Amino acid sequence: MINFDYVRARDVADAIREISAEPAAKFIAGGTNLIDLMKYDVERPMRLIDITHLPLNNVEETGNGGLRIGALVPNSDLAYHPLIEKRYPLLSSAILAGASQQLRHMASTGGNLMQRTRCFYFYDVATPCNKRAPGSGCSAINGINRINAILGTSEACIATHPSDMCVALAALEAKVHVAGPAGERAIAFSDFHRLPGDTPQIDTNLKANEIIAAIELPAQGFAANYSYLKIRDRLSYAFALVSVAAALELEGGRIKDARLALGGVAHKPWRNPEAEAALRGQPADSNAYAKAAEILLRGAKGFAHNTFKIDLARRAIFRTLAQAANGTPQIQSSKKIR
Amino acid sequence: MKDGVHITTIEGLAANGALHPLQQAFIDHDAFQCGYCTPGQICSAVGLIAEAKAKTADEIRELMSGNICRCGAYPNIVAAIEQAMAAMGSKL
Repeated sequence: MINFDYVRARDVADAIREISAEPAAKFIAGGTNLIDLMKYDVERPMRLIDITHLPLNNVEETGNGGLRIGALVPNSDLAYHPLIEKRYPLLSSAILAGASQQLRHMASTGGNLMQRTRCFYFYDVATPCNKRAPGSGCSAINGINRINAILGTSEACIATHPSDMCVALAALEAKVHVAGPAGERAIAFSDFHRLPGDTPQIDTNLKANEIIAAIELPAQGFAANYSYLKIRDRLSYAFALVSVAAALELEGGRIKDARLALGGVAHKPWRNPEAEAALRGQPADSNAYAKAAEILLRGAKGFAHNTFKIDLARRAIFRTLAQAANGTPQIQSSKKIR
Repeated sequence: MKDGVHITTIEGLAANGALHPLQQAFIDHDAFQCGYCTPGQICSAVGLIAEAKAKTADEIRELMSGNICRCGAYPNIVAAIEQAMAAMGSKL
């Protein structure tokens, strides 16, 4: 771990000024990932900009039926917020599937988006990794890649984004409000995280001089028919091998609207509008689920140790859609998959 | 970042020479072997009871999953927390 400076940002404008002035600075909020990465010598920020005192910790109605969630709202506060539990239970469930209660208390909403991959080689500074040291090579492609991606990979990187919360936010079509020197702009959730391509060191489309201010949820929360199913090696406090967020709007046994996103399989939450279109207008049955799974997993490619994820994802998609349609969402404290 | 925040550690739980109900419950249920994880387990369990989100043994296990016990005392830890919840008037 290197020595670093510490400064507390007074307000959002001050935070933007600070980050613009020092490219090797990092924002710190909960610190649940950044501090680990600094101890492992993976991240070496010259300066930490403490944003924990910025006024970004409220959940507010937007006026068009949605909610605006401040970037500093802790993950646990968000999961247990009465409006989230009632109107966006998919988001609540996904958050509670991630990490541990202590980590959820510390971790912020914005930080959850900005957390970095848990690829073993990204953390191991003795090995090549294009994400950590661009151009050095990818150790995972021919290494121990059981936890790595099966979709949207490149020859440079097969890392996954580890978040559960982000999978639900992708399915809910949230917007990310970011603030920079020129003011605020909104980024569609599916455009926030990037695929690795030949620049896997860049995780997101957030610019170097921007800060996440808030996440906006649209009015439609799919509160009646949803499920978040997370499959992992350990029953709790483990990252997903595969996770599925499913949200349906049903009308007379038919699917009127559908959302489907995968976690643990790609560099970003994995969606395909075609898979969702294939569900619309269909009866909520196994034929429709199988078709959606086939489309969503199109192009999936396994490596030496993770080919099992393709079948696992197919079955998890099927099961999660059935849970959503039946109104029997996966309960995160129960390990029984219904 | 947490300047000025009030923090309670394991040393701050006993009051006037009397053990906290969770400390007593850990002794009653033999909820540790080597003891290395015990201060963390007890402090997390105090937080868990204060938050009142756990209503079932499954929920206790889930919300305590961030505390690892290498001796595998988990069944006794859950039993100790259930006892302390009852002693502290929190319904399970």
